[in-house]
Amino acid sequence: MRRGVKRLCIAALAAALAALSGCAESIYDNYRDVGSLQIVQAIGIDGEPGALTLSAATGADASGRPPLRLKCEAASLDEAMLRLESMAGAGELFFAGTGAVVLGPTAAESAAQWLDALTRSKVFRLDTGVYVLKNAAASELLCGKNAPEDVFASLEALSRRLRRTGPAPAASGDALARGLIESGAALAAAVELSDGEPQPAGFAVLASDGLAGYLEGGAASGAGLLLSGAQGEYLTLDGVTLELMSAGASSKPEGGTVCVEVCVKAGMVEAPAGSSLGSDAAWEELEGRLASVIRGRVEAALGASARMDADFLALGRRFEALFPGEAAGFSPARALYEVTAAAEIVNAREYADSPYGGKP
Amino acid sequence: MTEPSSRQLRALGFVMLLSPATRLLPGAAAREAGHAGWLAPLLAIPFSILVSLLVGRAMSKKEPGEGLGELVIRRSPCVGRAFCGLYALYLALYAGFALRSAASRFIYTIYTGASPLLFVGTGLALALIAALGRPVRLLRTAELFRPLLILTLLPILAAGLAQADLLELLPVTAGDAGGLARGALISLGTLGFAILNTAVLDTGEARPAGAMAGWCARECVFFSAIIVCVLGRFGPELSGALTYPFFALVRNTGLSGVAERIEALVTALWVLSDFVLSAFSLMAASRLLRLSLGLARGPSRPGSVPPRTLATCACAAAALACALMAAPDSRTLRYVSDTLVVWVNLGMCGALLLLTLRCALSSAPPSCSS
Repeated sequence: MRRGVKRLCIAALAAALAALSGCAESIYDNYRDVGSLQIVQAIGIDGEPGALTLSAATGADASGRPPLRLKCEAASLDEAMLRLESMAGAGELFFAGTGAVVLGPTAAESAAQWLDALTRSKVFRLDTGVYVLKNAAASELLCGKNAPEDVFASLEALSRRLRRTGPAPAASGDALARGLIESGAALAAAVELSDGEPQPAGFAVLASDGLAGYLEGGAASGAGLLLSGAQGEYLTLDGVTLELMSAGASSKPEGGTVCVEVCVKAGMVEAPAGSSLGSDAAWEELEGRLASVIRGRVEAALGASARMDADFLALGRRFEALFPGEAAGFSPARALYEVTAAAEIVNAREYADSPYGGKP
Repeated sequence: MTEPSSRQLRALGFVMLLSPATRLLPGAAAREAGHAGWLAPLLAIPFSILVSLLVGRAMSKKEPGEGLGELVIRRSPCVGRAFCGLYALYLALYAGFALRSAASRFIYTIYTGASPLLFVGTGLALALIAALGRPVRLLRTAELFRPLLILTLLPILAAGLAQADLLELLPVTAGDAGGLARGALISLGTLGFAILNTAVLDTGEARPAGAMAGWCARECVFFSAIIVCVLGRFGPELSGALTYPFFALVRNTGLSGVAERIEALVTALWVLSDFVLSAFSLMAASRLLRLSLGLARGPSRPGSVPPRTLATCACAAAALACALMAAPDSRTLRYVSDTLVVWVNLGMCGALLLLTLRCALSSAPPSCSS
């Protein structure tokens, strides 16, 4: 009898588990019908805490459902998300799949608060890529007339391009939050709208007290090189095209000076017919020119850091970790920088007999 | 083979420590010792080995069928009984806290805004069923769960280490000594919970005193690896500010080409640890309560409810009360989790260790006074 009751209890408990499978509307409310989900892939934030505009875009749908483009104004991020849900019609907005956060210029002024909100959010992931739109509101990219058909696909393509050719991969929310907390500044990928499509535009310098400025051109390349090495950029010097393959940088405080050493390796890609690169002297001259260009870029990045007094290169944090005795009171604005650069050019494509007569 | 074996005890310890180790240690180490936090568990290694040797020496004097509770009571009958009663209450409340904490993790990671009641109720029912069974069943269950949890942990730790910025683990300076000492104490308390309390249910044959020493060192290295991953990813300030930094790490870890999001799977599997922890706490609490009240031996009257069932149900009721009342909101839960439980656990484990020390140092076999 006891054994029978026991078996009955076990069977009843096992049957009860069926209600907890999550495959249908059951005793808890976490069930989502995949068919009705509108998965938000990118959000845009404009304005400031207390008065923000949140825009959201869903992606292309295999069912043929057109992507949703929604925007609303609210006092807080959560309130805005709730409002957007009410605007989504029959579908249900699902924010947990958000893969990109775009901050408009005004929102970038309060980047620290938005990153704090993202960090504390129970919906968004901290490793979501964050972009700062320089020349338009974020809602323009997500919901504007010329907005790309699939915003997330455009941002993903942009992200791949940043990873492949620099200046650096787009920083994620947690990396930016960590930079702001530890160094008081961080570099977010800056984006410009061109015919509705996002294009890389260097970096936005986010600081604890607002947007410190932007890095463009050489300064952006130099900062990218110091932060994450070379990104496969092509450089043409005197008609010879080089591909930056790798870079290493080290920095240390020496007295009142910060010594920065950069070493890049580049591969020969193209040279015009008749180039005289057969001699060691010509090859070394080219390496010297490349080193000079790289040094200029790094100096431009360090100069911008000093001008803005923003340690977006996290040098203070690095010195604190590696040279704790000498790092006290590091300030980008007060530091004197001494940059040395070295370059090595290799025949990476392994031409058997170089068409320009260079070194094998 | 006589059960429980050393292997089963190690499996039990590993599985039930996963929950507190991932909930408490990364954040606590970051707050206490900053960038040097990863060293805290490593500093706890010699002390945890010492504790395990001490417990092992005391346990070498027991008879088969006895656990640490019996030893303590035989050595100090009055104080021992009173302490076992108090410790039983502590373990019962700890079981409730473990359930509430597990519910909070579910709410944090998946079921945003849900009531903890459902999670607490389900967890307690399962823990009670397990606690009413034989201890050996729970030990065998832990043996089954261990490889599953290790298989889950390894990719997380590998991905965490791959993404960690190792500069976040530096500097380590003399100024970190105080924070490191506190961090090491918290790690020791977490590990001590397992070392001391598994001995309560260790009713098998006496084993060598150093049987658990290597396990203690490995656990501390494992704790350190968890902290390295979290600190390397978020840095100490952000880690200290996050509610569950380890689960934030899990939430932001995808296995490229395999799964974009794994937090639901991990959170679901962590239930195994919560289940073993709460069931074990109830089981140990029930045993100590019976020892304290002298209900451990003697047949129960035919038709009456056995003392073991009564004691376990009483402990489960205390656990339920604790789970429902201890932390009405997440802010209170955080205080309870990060401060109250840490120091109460250290106090209780410290007191049990003192009584164990008396047993370990006594040269003569303890007298049978109970």
